[in-house]
Amino acid sequence: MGKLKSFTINFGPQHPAAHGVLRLILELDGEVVVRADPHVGLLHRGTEKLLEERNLLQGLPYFDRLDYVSMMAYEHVYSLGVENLLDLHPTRVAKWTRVLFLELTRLLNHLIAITTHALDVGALTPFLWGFEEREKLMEFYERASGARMHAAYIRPGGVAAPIDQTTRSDIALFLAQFPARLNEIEEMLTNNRIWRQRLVDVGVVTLDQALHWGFSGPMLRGSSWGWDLRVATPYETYEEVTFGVPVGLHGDCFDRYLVRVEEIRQSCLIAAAALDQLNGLGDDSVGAPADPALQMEDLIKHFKKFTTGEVVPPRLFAYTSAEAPKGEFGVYFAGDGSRPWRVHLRAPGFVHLSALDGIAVDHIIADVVTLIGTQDIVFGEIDR
Amino acid sequence: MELARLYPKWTAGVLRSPQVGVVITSPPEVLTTLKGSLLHEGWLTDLWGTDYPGQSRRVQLSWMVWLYTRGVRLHLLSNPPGGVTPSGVHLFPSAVWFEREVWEMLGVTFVGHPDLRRLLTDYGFSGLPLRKDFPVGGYLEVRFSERAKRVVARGVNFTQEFRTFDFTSPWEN
Repeated sequence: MGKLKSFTINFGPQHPAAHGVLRLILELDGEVVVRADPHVGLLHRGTEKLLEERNLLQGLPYFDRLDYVSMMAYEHVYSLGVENLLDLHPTRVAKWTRVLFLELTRLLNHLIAITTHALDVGALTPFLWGFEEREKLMEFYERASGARMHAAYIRPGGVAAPIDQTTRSDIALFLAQFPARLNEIEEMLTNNRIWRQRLVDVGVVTLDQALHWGFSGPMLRGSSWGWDLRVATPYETYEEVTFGVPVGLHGDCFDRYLVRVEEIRQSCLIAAAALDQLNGLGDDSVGAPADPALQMEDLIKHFKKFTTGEVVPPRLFAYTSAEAPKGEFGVYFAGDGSRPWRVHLRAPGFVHLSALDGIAVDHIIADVVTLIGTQDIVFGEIDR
Repeated sequence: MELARLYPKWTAGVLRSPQVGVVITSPPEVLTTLKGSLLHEGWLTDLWGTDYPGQSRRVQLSWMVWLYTRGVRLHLLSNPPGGVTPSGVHLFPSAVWFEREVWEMLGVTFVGHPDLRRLLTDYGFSGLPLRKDFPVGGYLEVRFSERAKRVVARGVNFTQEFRTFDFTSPWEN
């Protein structure tokens, strides 16, 4: 028998465990990965280029479509960026509403991250349970914005509309029952022998590696670095909320799973605190003029503002980033009149996926699925 | 800012953002110098380019470096002459894909990059999409040809020409 040489296989782009359209070229020596070369860009839409053709208000809905499992987190960073650029300050009601929905969005994202990860390594049930909870969360999206997914709710200057008392009490009901659902999911996974065998000590990322590869979010916190932009550079009203930043110790896939679970619990606490604050503040202005049709002059101003958009002087630029569920999402604007001259998006998944080659080497081919799952990859944001 | 005091000639100004510390206009070598001194605790989280046609060095590169221990972020700027600049991959491994993206989108060559290939565009794509002279609609569109039994490319054909609306009033300024 001749000597076995390493061979190359295509993983994806149409593979259910590739979380979208990832074409991964794997060089294998037997079952061991020698090199993993991700080919991305199959979902590239040129969002950065498109944004150069829109004014600052028109650009917003593209951000829902970046990471389509945590929509509001991305439109929030965009809004925050525009506010930094124009020096706008939303009202407190708007800020707390944002915090509430940002944390609900984190639940949306982590639920899909954990449960599809479990699905990829062979556990179907948590996926079904998680999606039932996501369905409820998306109903809150729908009540706030009218859309289940692509909400365009958090906007430059505030949010689209205040949420009413019924929605607030329903969110409170949800938050009361949700921890029990999370416990059920954890019962199925955390001490599950198969789950542990597939995750513990797989994909170990040392802290040094994580920092050099530019990791952020749970990928960095899983490697024992408690870096969270909500704490490090507080925005909105996060400095008024007390919450914990969970940190993993070993940097393996299992630690990142535990970090995400704990982040869900912390998000519930933050969301509950935001609800309390909102109930105390009552209904207040949240952004754009409530009724622009009151006076002719107001109507003209409103029309002008929403057709022209805000005018940004050339040479004015701003870089803003915030803690999206997947990690640090950054938006860079360079001003040029009513349209941005250049918009750059820093997608956390892009950075994480670029390190896949480094993590996957010397792992068995089945572990590649675990690694893609633990990176919480969504191609909307990677390909932009 | 400490950095502005240390390197006054590189410091251009403060960015309009509550989180970002200092903007430094720098030749690329500064990256190496800083890595030796200040940036030994810094990690590259972002790198991108901006096209300014009309300038002799048209592409401006931006590095975003977090100094995690200080909670400060540095924004480094550079306009590489001739669109050629040394690669920072050996300093910051996270730059691998960022530099590939800038190379394919804006045509900046990073000397010493281990793997400068296309990243986000289609296989066999030509053109520099993020340059200002590249149209938003592109030049080619692809479709599956039933006759040829494969994906074929042809020139873009819009039923309506691309319209841009300029609402800015000449009287306002």
